[in-house]
Amino acid sequence: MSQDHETAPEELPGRSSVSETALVARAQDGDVESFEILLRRYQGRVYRLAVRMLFDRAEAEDVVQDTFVLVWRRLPTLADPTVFATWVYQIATRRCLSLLRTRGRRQTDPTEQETLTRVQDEQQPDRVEGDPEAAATYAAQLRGLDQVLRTLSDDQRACWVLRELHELSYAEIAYAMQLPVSTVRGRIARARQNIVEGMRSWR
Amino acid sequence: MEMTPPSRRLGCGRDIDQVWDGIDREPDAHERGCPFCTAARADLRRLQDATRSLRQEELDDPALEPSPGVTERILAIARAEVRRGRRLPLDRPGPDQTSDLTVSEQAVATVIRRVGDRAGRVEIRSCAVRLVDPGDPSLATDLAEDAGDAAADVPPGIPSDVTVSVRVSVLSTAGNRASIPAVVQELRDGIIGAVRQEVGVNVVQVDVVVEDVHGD
Repeated sequence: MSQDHETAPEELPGRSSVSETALVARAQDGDVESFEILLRRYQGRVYRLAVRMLFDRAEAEDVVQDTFVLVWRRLPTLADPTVFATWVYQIATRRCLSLLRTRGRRQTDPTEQETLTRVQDEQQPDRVEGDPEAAATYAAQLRGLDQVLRTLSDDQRACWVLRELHELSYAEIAYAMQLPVSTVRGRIARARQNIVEGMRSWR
Repeated sequence: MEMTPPSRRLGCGRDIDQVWDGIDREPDAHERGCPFCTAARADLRRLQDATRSLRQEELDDPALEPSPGVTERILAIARAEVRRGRRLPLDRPGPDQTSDLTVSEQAVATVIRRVGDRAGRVEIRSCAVRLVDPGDPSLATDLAEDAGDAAADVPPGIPSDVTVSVRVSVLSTAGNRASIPAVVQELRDGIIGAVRQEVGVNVVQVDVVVEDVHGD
């Protein structure tokens, strides 16, 4: 998993940093100070994930709160403190998917044809193969990617975001999504195809 | 089971996933001459570039953090639901008394963890504090006998006896090979002293389990 470059080591008297495993164990014992350090370290990641999944910052903040209250309450049940980060992602991902399901948004995992058709209908089809301008400007590419992500199924978007924006391994995503690794691979492969198709059509 | 969508086969018959799996190596003989494969590889490269940019933009965007109110609400809930655990009486009760002065196990654990943090050679993970029952058979025999004798007529204000159990990781580097027994003994002494001084109860036994040894 990628390192969070902005986090400075926590200062304690006589020590330059306390390992995350120790922080988790202390938080499991009920130490709120240790929990706060973990919270500040991971809340940004959960927020960014939720914004990408729900496209609503207020709802994303609710996900952050729901996730970490659950983390605090269920910490004593976490048998292995070394998988804390992946466990947090599991709670956050489940919360996002649950909210998407109950709020009646896009069904999880429509067929490939459905997704592609939707993308092509929504944007002006403008296939320009071999066009020198196909190397779009930086901003246009990002905007295109941002828009196309919204058209993916919830499960495809979740797998893709966890892999490409949060740099989780396939095994970690499988744990977070509670799916077999092979299914995760398949979802990501199809997400990539759908994104490429969508970006080609998007101008 | 998900059906293979028709778009997964390129015009040349190759599976697009296979072409993409090979994106990091040089194109093979077929791919070099095939417009479909070449286009597919170019598509994935563009996607990778856009993805890398999006990933970096997310990390750099200061607005992509939850508002401070969210953090504070979470911590308020945590503090309200803090696992205080048992209360430990500061004084040993006499035959007709119950002690009014108590300290939470959490507070004692905090003192103990600071001992490890200050020492620098050992990292305390979990920590449990237990009140000694005079005559506890699990204590070393001579301690139990002393405790049993003392309990008979205890004037008020005698500090309680507690046992401490900690699970730790010991630091050992090339330039500083820790003698684990020495580190453990130093930790034990530190815990006994700190708890006596800062909490005011007697630590009669410290069980240390070394879970892990870590280099820096």
